Amino acid sequence: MHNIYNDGINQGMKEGLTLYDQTFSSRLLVGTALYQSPDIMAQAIAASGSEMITLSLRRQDPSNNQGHTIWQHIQQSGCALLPNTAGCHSAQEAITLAQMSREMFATDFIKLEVIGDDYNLQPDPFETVKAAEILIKKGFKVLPYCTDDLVLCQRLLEAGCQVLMPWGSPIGTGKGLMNPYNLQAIRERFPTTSLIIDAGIGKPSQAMAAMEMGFDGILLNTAIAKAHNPILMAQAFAQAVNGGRQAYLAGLMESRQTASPSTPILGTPFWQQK
Amino acid sequence: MTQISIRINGEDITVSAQSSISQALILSPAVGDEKSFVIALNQNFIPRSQYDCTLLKAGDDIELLSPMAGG
Repeated sequence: MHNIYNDGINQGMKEGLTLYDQTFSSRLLVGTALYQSPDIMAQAIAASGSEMITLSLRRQDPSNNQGHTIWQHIQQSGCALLPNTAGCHSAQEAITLAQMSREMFATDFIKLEVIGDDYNLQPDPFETVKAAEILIKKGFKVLPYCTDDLVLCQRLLEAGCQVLMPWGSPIGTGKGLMNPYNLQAIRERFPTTSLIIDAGIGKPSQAMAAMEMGFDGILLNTAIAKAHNPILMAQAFAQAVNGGRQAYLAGLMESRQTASPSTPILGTPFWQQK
Repeated sequence: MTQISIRINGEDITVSAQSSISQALILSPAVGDEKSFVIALNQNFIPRSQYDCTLLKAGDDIELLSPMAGG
């Protein structure tokens, strides 16, 4: 039997994740760091189904070939590249690193990361906005890593960002969605902006919760790389992200304070005994 | 010929005055066999097309970076 509801959901699932002028069928973006080996990294990326992966630029130790091996595996993955500006503490540092990344990786995409505090790796909102304004003018497609502050998100959109990446919680903590209220407010305030939860996701259930809220994608690294079996965990995250997206498209029921029977009351047996 | 001291990835190296970035890279152990790298000079990005024509001064600081894993 033809199901009219399936048409809408299937269409919604096909729409994919829009990042500036490009669309990706996978809504899961994964990092390439912290893996036991480049080979496990490559297998985990493939298992995740991700079509965009993050990477960085660093000083190379000429006596250590590992960076070169990782780069070879990344190139062979066929994924779009999202270089980051991890480790930068000022707009100027981030701009320089973004320009270097564009030449190295031949992409305008940049994950803008300007850290304001080393204790929790919290983004510096002021320097992030400053860098975003300049990078957008230079033709970059900026994906800013930011906090869940509504006004900061507004400023980044005004700077020209078409994608926002608020944190779930600090990088590497695995604490999930620290401030669901703030995240929900950002989702509702900017209904047409592509929103990706970046950082802090430790479990597939947390990724699914974000997707159920209507977020457009998830970016994570540590939860997969540090799993006992990264390849299996990558599959788990892929399913969670898809499941959360389907649930969002299907429409969640309203929660309520009091119990409500799901089985019909009419015709309840043994009624007359009461 | 006058020699000047510059830094590449935090290591001091000595090059001839008026050396270009390309000439300095030949002398740098930081480069090794690495082909995939990009450069900043005194924290400003220098496109590859300008390595030959950018001349170095004493105290210049070159950052030479290559692809690496990242989150």
